[in-house]
Amino acid sequence: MTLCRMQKQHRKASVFAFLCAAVLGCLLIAGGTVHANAAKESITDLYLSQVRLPQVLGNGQFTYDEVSFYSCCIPRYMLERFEASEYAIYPGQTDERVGTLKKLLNSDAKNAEFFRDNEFVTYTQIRPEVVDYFDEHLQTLLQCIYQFCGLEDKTPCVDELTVWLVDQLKYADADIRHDIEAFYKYRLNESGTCGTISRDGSLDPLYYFAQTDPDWANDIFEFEGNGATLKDRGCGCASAGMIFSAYHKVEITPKWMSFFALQDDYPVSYGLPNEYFSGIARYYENLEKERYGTVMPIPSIYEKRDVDMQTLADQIANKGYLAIIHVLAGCFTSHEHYMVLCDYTELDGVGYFLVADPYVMPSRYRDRDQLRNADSTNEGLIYATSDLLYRDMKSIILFEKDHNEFPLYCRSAAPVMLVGEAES
Amino acid sequence: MKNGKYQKHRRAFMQNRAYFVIGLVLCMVIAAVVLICSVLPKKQAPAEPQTAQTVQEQPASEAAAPAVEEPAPEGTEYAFADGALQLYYDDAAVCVSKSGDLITFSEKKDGTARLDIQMLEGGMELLTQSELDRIAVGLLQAYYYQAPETEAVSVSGSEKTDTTYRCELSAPAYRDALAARASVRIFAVGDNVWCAILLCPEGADGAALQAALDSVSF
Repeated sequence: MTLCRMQKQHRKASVFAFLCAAVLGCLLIAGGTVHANAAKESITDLYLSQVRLPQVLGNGQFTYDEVSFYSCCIPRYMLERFEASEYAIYPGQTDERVGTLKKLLNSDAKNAEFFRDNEFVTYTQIRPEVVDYFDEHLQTLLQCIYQFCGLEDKTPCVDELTVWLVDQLKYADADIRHDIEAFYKYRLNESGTCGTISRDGSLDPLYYFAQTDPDWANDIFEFEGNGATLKDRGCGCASAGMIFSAYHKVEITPKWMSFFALQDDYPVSYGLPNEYFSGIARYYENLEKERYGTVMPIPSIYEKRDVDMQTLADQIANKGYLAIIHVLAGCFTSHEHYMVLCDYTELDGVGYFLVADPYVMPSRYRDRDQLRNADSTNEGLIYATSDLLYRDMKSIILFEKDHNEFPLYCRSAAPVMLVGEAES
Repeated sequence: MKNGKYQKHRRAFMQNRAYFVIGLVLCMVIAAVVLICSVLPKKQAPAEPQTAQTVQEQPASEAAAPAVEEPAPEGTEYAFADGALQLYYDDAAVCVSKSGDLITFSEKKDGTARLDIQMLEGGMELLTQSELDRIAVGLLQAYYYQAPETEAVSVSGSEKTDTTYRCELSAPAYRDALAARASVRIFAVGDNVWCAILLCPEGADGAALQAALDSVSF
């Protein structure tokens, strides 16, 4: 009996010993294999990183809409190193790695570290609600970066290669960064997706800024010390911000516009006079000319009696003009108000202007029978009939230039190496 | 109580340490076999360049041919690697230039083919033949603004000795670049390697440069 128990114990112990050894052996195998692979992966790179790059095959260029651009050249071994990424985040997904990339690419002068001169990621893309969201603008930007790097077939995603490419761009030549940026803006413009990103991550059909936006609603914008804020009297600043952004193709927020207004002492008792728009446009006409070649038109101011709504509809729908409408008490306000007319379309046989109202509170609207909700989650957008707008109109500030115009050109004079140095 | 249990386990372990050692040795053997098996297939991994038949695969009669006394090299001598390596070129047909650390020979008549020589830090003894194939393909890829994938470049005649490596490469037309072929020679000199690569884009002759490349010797 005792012998039998001893034998059992003995067998148990030997099984235990064998299992211990097996686990130890497996660990050795795993360790050995990992080590062997790591060494194997890096040893050729060690040599290839020293190889001079004579670059004589091909021309390092690509053409888009008849404009030739110089490419960013990357040694193939570097690209192949990142072929298998440990992660990939796609458009529409939310992940903090997207936020990290967006923050890196952000051009906000206060926070930007590397891309201050390039608007790759805008203010509205990095607001806390959407910072980690892979929005459509980021998708287009990555497509543009891939195109410059000869990776146009790559599906836009945030993966190890993409992060590495962006990291290399930090130190790239200013001209190639400009070319990528301008190309990106051109593509946004071409696809009609130029505009702001709303707080739910969707695209606004234009650069839209609300005076009621909590980011600046409570900023002081007073006249003779009345303590008013941008929310109270900032419709002119917000409307100007939308128009300036649309022509210059960068986000210019009401905060900026209020700074300009205060700097030149424009505020009057009811907010801003019509002359503010022409004055400020004249002053900042060429704000982005050097960067994009865009020029802001000086607006013409038309009193109500001089406005023909049919002509205005044609200018906005077909010529790409934009207008700010100055309305009096009526459907939209009980005092005076500025709003942007950004599109004109027929719905069920009736013509409507798409109105970008900077004061977000649709419940205040009267004459609902002459309004239609816009197909957008943005509550600041509303369709209004010509008759209604004409009835409430005091004047029109018309920007007589196609806001979709965007000249495409290449600033670089040669292909650019993103890694290492090319042989001359 | 705990101590008693520990003592019991310790005693059982000590009594059976022979089994433990046998198990460990067995697993080490298995580990070694698995490790060897895991390394071998990687030599044909898809990310590596396409490799055609090697020089060793030539007919036995050719390989066993009696040594013929080589004629003395002709042409102008060019020494590099601190005199450890020399090549001979026809200075009526070939010109030499230097850009940084890159020595370039090109034909006076048709400048599209070129023979480049450069030094890379690092020895050759640790490199396997497939790693040298990858480096050779990388040398060719460096001529492109945007290079074809490694898999698209085929490697043939790959041969490695303790101090030399040689192969022939062929790349298809890619984007706006013509198809190209290249001959690569790598020589181990001290702690470094010296790479000579003759690039012949489609349509280029390169005969004079080929002769120069073939003349490289210690």
